Amino acid sequence: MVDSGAPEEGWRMRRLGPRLRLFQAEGDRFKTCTLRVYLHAPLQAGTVTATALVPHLLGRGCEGHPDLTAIQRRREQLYGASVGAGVGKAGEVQSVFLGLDAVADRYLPPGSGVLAGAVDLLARLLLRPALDGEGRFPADIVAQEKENLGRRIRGLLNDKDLYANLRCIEAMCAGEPYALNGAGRLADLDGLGAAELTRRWRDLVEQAPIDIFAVGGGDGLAELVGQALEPLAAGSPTWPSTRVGTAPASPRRIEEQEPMQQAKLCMGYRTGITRGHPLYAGMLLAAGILGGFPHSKLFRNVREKASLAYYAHAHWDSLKGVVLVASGIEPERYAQAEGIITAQVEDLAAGRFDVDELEFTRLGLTNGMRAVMDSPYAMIDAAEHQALAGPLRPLSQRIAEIAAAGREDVVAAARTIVLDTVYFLRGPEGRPAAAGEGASGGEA
Amino acid sequence: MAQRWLSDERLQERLFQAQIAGGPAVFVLPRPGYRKSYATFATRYGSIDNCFQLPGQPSPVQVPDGIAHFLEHQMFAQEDGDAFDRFAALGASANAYTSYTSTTYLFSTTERFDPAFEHLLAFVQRPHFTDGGTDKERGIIQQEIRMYADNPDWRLRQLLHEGLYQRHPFCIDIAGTVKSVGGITTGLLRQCYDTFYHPANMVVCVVGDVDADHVMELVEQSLAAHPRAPWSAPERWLPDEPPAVRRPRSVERMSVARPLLAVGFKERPGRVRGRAQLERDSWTEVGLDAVFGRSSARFASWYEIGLVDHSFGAGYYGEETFGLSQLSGETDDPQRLEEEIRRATDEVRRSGVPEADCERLRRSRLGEFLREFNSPESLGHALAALYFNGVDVFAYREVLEELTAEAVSARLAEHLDPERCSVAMVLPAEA
Repeated sequence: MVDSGAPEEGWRMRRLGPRLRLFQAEGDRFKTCTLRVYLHAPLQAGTVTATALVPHLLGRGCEGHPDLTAIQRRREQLYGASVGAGVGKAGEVQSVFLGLDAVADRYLPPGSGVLAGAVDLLARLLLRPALDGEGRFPADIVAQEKENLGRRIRGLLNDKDLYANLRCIEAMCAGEPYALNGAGRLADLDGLGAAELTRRWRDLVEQAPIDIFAVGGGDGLAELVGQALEPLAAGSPTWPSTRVGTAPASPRRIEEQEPMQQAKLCMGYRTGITRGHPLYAGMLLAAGILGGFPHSKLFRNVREKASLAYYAHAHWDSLKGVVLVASGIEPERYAQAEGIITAQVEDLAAGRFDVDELEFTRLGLTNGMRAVMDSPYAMIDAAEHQALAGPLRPLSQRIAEIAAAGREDVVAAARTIVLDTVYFLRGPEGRPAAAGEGASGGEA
Repeated sequence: MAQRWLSDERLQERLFQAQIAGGPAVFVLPRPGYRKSYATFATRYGSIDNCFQLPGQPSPVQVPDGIAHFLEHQMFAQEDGDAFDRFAALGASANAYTSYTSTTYLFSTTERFDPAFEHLLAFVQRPHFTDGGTDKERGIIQQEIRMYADNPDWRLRQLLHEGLYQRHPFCIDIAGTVKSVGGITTGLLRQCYDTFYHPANMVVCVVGDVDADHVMELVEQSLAAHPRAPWSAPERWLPDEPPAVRRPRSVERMSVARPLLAVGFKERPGRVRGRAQLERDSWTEVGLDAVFGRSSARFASWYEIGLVDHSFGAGYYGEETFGLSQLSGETDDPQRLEEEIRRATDEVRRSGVPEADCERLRRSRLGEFLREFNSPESLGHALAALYFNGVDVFAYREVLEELTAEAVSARLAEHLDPERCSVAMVLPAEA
């Protein structure tokens, strides 16, 4: 049954069909079995919103559990097993996922059969949703979930950090699939009906490449999952991939206003480096030195030295090759903040970082990689991301690469970082008074 | 020194617990097979402890709002640099947080536990206050306060607390205000440190693949290296909180896509600790799940007419001297949702919660309790919080098993009292 070795410490890969892979890791140290089924699709304008709606429709009813209340009551009977559907974006791949997290049967009264019950519920949600007489998602449910998705998309505005990041990426990657938010687009909603959404679900179930990640569940899991998801085994899939873009000759600048006290400064950079690149480890270290830890340049210089921001950090998307620097600042001190952030990136590329900055980052990264093994969700997230870019590599190998990367690798990686877009979100001039008190300016 | 092992065979868990005479309580929860060890060092001192009197002092001292949180930030400034640096040099990840009732310092690491643990114990016992450091930190904290002021969920919660409580300092934001932190001085920070950061007021929790005896040795060594005079416990002054709410309704406008509504019910005046607190909390949670949870008929009908979405939730948060139930979510029609919630609470006070619902939700809560044991972070947090409230960590399973529909119904009838209800709304800013 095993036709692949042990590509990741703890992960064993089995092919359950031409487009269906099961990655399983032992989970005796956990009290649960955690499992996620990912159906991958290319992120593209034509399908992004329909794909985003599918998991919400799947959560509304299935064979044997016809509505929200029945599904939830079934979950509660299964000792609060969490079984549900969602959607995510990794690089230029949009994935519908069905997740399951159930207490391992060995902690429950004999005969509880929670794992088998939870796998059965997951399979019903994905493969046998409640449809109307014409084999479509019922019109009233489609209308409700379209309404809900519209609200969620409009509601992105409420979280100003996230909103600023999304707007920055949208502006920076205009014309590339990466600009699309995995949650979908407001403008598409009116045009989507039950027939099209049902077709989208069927397409995913019949054609999408599928990865299943499971932590725990024991020897019987492959058979249990293989039987429950048998209809997914057939078909020949095309694996979606992500294209790397380049920065314009001079950076784009965008400023927008919303009523708010603090301002958000988001700076988007391109680097040609992604997973699989020879400078992968160098880039991990470079992004970490720049803004991944409390000892990092951004935190130290923007927050600690200049008292300019409460947060300032950098995130590298290793599938797309984009580095996003995000900070919350006083609107009046925008120019100063941009200057300090720019100087940190320049210092990195010029090799102006000391041994401590490099070594603390190396330790922090390896500590984080090992700590992933203590959380089923973190293990699955990390493995899913890796599996989209190629074969899973053992933890020990990834740690050895970080150990082997030298200062010159960090500098070479940092030199590929080019500013693409500066996005600034701020309140209107003449900021409104802080809640519950008189207006009070920030002090220098 | 008293020490013992507790165990729970159904959970397949063991817990080491010790009380060092004149020093901290120590808990060790072994996690065989885990790579990460997680340690916390916490003091029973939070934002509500803003008025206190030491033995021999003529009158209580009132300190500026937000000082416990300010002190938490300031503790990382050490004589030989930033306390984060040493953690970073050891590859450990460190953090701290302040709640209404406690302040916690923590780290996690997958290697070299001993030096990181020694550092955690040492830096919290060895503060270094300077006026320059206080001034710099003030600017950062004022940015943090502004950041939260732009967060609608945070504002909604704060409005609700202010609407419910009239005098109890729970109604004040943990971080204080931009103005109040302006009044915090180095001298005040030192005074609060001396009063509350005594090992006898603290607890050490370690969760990981570690040896309990060895943890005890390291704690004893650190205490010996940082000698302190015996603790004189301060008297913590809390104003008498009237049973009635401050105001029935609070409304604020800000940049949000659609309205946010929260309906809150405050706890009756008085103190609740130990098993009684655990019973209060779990009866309330199961009751709220039955009335407003995802499996309730009400949630389904509100969801189907678009009155609520998955942002809607009902939860309870209670400590020894305060507590509240909060029912909240985004909605296009906050007036209608408020009416529906009031109608639902009237109904449940009259007719109670069905036995079958309690049975199912008891199971569900038991499963959630078991799943908590997956996470060293949530275990470390829970151990300290339960200790400060006088609760045994394994007691929750028993309390759930003994829970009855009568107890849940009686609790909701008492707690969901319209006289102790306040409503908060955050509405979209007018165009």
